[in-house]
Amino acid sequence: MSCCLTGFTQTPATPSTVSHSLQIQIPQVSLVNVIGNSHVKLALQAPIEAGTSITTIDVDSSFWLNYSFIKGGVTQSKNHIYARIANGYVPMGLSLSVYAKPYQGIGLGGFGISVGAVTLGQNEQRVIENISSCFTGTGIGNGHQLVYQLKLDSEKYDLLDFEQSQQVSVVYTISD
Amino acid sequence: MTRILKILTLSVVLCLCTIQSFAQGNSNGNGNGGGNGYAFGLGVNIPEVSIIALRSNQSTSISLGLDGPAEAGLGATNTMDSSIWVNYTFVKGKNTRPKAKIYAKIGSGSVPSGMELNVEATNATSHGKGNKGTSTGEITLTSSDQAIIENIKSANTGKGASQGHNLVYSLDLSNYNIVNYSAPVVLTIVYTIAE
Repeated sequence: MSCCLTGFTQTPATPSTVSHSLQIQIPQVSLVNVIGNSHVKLALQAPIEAGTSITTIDVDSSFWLNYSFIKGGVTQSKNHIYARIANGYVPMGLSLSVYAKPYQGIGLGGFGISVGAVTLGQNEQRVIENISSCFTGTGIGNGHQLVYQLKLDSEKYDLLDFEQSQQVSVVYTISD
Repeated sequence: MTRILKILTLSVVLCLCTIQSFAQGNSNGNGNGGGNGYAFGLGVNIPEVSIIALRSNQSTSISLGLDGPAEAGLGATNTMDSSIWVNYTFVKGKNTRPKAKIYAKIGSGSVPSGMELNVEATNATSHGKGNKGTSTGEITLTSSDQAIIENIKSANTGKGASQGHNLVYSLDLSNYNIVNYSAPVVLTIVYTIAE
């Protein structure tokens, strides 16, 4: 018996590279929101004893500021948050200020810096500045806690008028 | 003595092995096989195979990033994708290429600043046959090849989405503060099976 092995041509290796496309989207984002009870009452308490002042201060810390921002490298490198009174007015003899506490929460990125306490008026004033691309997280406990303070202006005590109790709306704007 | 020439060619294709048998014999014609015997030749060819494919139930064109958060405080909501599967068939050569790896790289385009694009291959499903590769873990994609699956010997993964190794993409935004908005960036991710 004889035996032979026949020779075969090797099958060429088939293509060994593949590819697919992957798109990364980074849209323009600039959003701000205030989280908390929709109505907060700040009130100065009447004195009990004749000859003493009404209380000079009341504070509320129930609101939080949430925001999301994506900067443009050239066109919008930073953003700020402004506050103003949109409706109503602060009764004479009183001042209403807001202070944004430093950021805390589960967000990511370059958060803004508080400018400290700002006395609210009809014109926009910065409360947080130099925001870079970031998101604060949503809800209470994320972002900047807002501390409102209603304060008696002792030099204008004579202007106090109990008929001037007011409801005011405060508007926050994120803008460069 | 009548000589009968029998030629029998049998070709069997099974999986990726081609087996061809060739028989040629002599006989004295008495049907008892007691003639001059058979000369018998058998050739077995195992082709050199390296095939890789990407499969998905949808398109293999995928999108990551921010879908435009609907609520202040939300960030990137679309940072992961695991819709693509890698399938492969490989036949090793004991001496010339005992095992293979699968490499990944960015073929074109670049990841926007402030981000890293990572990919990890899961270990293979139970589909297919042979000695499938193992995941090397998560890698950060660059323009250079990096192994994401290694120690592939002769094996096939099965064909289709949900078979083989799942590719898990994730966008790392640890430098979110330097991310700039821009037009969508399109990358090509290239996978190569090689020794």
